[in-house]
Amino acid sequence: MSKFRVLIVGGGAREHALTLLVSKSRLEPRIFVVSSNINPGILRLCKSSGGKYLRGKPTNPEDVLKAAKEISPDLIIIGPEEPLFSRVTDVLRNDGFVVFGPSSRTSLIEKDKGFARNLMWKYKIPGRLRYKTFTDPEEAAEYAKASGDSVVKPARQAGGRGVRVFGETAEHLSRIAREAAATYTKRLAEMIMRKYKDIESSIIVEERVEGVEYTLMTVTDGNTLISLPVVEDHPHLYPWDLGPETGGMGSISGPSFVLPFITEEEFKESTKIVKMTIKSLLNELKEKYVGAISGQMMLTSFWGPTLIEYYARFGDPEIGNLLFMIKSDFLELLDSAARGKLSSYKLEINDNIYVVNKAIAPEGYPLEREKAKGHPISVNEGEIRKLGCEILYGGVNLVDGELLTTGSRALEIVCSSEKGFEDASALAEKAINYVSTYDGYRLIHRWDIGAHSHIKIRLRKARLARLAYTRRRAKGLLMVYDWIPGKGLVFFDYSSSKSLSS
Amino acid sequence: MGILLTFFFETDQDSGKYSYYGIMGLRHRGYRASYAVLNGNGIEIGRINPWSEKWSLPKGYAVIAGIEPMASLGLASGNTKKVAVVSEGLCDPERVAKILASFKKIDEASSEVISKESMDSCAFVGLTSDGEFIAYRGRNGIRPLSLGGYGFESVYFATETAPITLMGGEYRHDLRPGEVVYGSRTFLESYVLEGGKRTTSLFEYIYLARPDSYVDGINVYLFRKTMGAKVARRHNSTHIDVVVGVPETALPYALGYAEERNVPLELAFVSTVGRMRTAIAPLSQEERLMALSLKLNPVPNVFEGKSIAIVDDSVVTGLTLKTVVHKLRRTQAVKEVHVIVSSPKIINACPYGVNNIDPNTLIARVLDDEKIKRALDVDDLIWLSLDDALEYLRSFGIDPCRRCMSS
Repeated sequence: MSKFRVLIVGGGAREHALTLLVSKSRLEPRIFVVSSNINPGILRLCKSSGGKYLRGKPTNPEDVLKAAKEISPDLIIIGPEEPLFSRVTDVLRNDGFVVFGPSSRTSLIEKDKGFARNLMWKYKIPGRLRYKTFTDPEEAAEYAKASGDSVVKPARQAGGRGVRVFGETAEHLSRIAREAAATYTKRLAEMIMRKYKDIESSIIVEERVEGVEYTLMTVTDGNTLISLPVVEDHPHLYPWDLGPETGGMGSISGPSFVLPFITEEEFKESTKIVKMTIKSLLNELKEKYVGAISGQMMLTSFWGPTLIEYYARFGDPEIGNLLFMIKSDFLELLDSAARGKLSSYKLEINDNIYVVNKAIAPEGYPLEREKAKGHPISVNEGEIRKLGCEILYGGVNLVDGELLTTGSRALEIVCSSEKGFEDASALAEKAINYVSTYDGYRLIHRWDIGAHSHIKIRLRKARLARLAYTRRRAKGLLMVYDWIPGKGLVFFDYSSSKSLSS
Repeated sequence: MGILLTFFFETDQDSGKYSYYGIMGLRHRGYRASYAVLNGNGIEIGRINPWSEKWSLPKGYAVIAGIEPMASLGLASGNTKKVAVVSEGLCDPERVAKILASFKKIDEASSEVISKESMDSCAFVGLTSDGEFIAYRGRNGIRPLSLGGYGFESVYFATETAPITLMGGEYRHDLRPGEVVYGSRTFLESYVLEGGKRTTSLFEYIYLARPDSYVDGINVYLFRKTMGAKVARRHNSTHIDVVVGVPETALPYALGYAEERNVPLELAFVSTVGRMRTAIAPLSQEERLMALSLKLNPVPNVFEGKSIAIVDDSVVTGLTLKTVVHKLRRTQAVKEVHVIVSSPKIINACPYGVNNIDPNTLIARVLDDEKIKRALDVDDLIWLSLDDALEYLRSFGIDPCRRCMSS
């Protein structure tokens, strides 16, 4: 039996994907996991690798440290973001463990959206958006009302929830949109202040941008940064990109490092944005960022690659796509990063493969989660595997031999094809037929992820954004001008190092 | 005709404020609209004139509306819920609402409703007091229905796409013939019945829809420009000095015609009553003539001694065209008047209720071309060939309904 021991913190779909990726390593590691729920997929991999599934709260440093001391792992991988914020990484490193995951300070890049935006302006990192942060709910509401066409977010990472877009796609709607923005902003600010005490600002109001979204996941040791293949997430709950915002109802990637609607050049530029961020973090905090950092990007008409927000971790569902895309040893990748030796690592991926990942959620996610909880799920793993697809368990808990939903996305089905997204998507649809609830409760997923019509829309949108930003660049414009009759020519200078003068 | 559904996922959002603009985007289709609004108290219904000065909708997170009289509202109560339906085409909204209200689950209710053959020539939208919505396009596809969304906030359905964009939304999908979409703030499902035919109303493209819309995937403006060009290709031997379009619908046709013939397009009339659609306004014959006269005040001294091509979108009763020609003849001493109609002859009332014209008022049904020319006092009268329109739409997979244009 292998001597290499790896401890993974967290028990969701992302950690299930991490476990699967790591289990394929030539090091044949024994896999240990610490989590508060029992994820059946992870449990099986722990057992088959000769490891163990430990119960504990991933966000509690004592729980995790206790597990680490018991196991003495060669590497600890932190999956979700909350353990980073609650100093789990710091405590483990202090005790001499080798950890893949940023410290609590460097993970501010995700936790504190104002911090991340300020860093981008201070160090003039391309792809930055205008923003303003607030503590006082009234003041935030007033600003949201005055600014218009904005995105209102919790200033603290709040499980991806609470983001609302108040688009003024037409001027005649501006009064309605602004009033709605003000009401919502005030309510959100009050809620955030009640719920989180570990951050100063409650609200961030950003300029709204339009374009094609994609996620760039990278791995870094603080010096070297390796970009993984670009993945596109699908945040809307319903097909045709309709419905409430979710943590992601599925994702597509392939056929190489880039998707059909993103160019090689845009991939490189996106990587440069993340690289500059890592460097600026070192400058700002005098501390190296070690772990995964993912950029939620958008191809916009102003910047081209634009940063919407950072995750101090791998994206979920995005990481699921890597199951079929990564050829080289993933455990070695994470281990090299944790030991500061990433420069010698060579990433290899499977070219010409199309990967489609579809999430399945119980009805009620995300707006009425109580309704979505506690439904027993049946998964015919054998039939799904026959189709060559992988199953990732997420928002489920194994209780007395029954698999119960927790109210979030229950599982993900990942399928691949060399023929194209449509084919991979069709496989996933077949596989999803083998998932049901014992109580007949409705499960939802998106049939359109990977559909041709869908890619066509992305291609068109990306082309429009590309025409606009290349034109802007050719003219060397980093200013936005506006003529307001009676007030004169006003402008906003993106080359300055401050977002808003106030 | 013309129907609308807006559904916001957050119940504190006021759909009525957005739907206001959606109804404005449909009001070129008629002068009364009935609506139902869903809010915490259940379903409220009402009726408004979207052309009147001040009107608004009650507060609520979901709205359905339809332009009367061809679209209408029905309400029904079941054991556990109330249902409101707005339908158009050949179906009774109250009957649809009754069936929907008699089932507990909307998936069972919808399959019961849409499986009926009588629903094939119908389109409807509905809301239930449980917070669910439903939209259906009948299997023969006569009535189009498009789907869009506004960010993470809402889902929109409308007969054409301009109301969707006016409500801030993005157009995403055209319901296929026999396609039903239903859902709530926690789920959305759709499926398509077999045996659908895309026989979308040709009259939508010719006349009803706004030129800034797509109807069943067809860009209405480009359709009209192309038809103008097509009719010009068949009418290229006569000398023309200048082209004039009859306001408002005919302007894209006139542009296409003028461009193809390389003849200048002139504005001939200025309206004093805005963009009023006199053909469908609820007016007496006398009032209609008065309105037309106000809508068509001629620009002076542009056409003297010239041969003019007057391009009109369609000729139904011929009243508008008669007024136009008369005004030009009287005020400008034009040399020749050639009338180009960018639609085939309309000779029947619509069996699906898309229009409700009295067949005896249809000029092309009652008179032959020679008599029409004499009645209108014109030198030439050219109609768009039905084949030209069919060829174009068929290239997009639509075999349009043309029952009002064929005997």
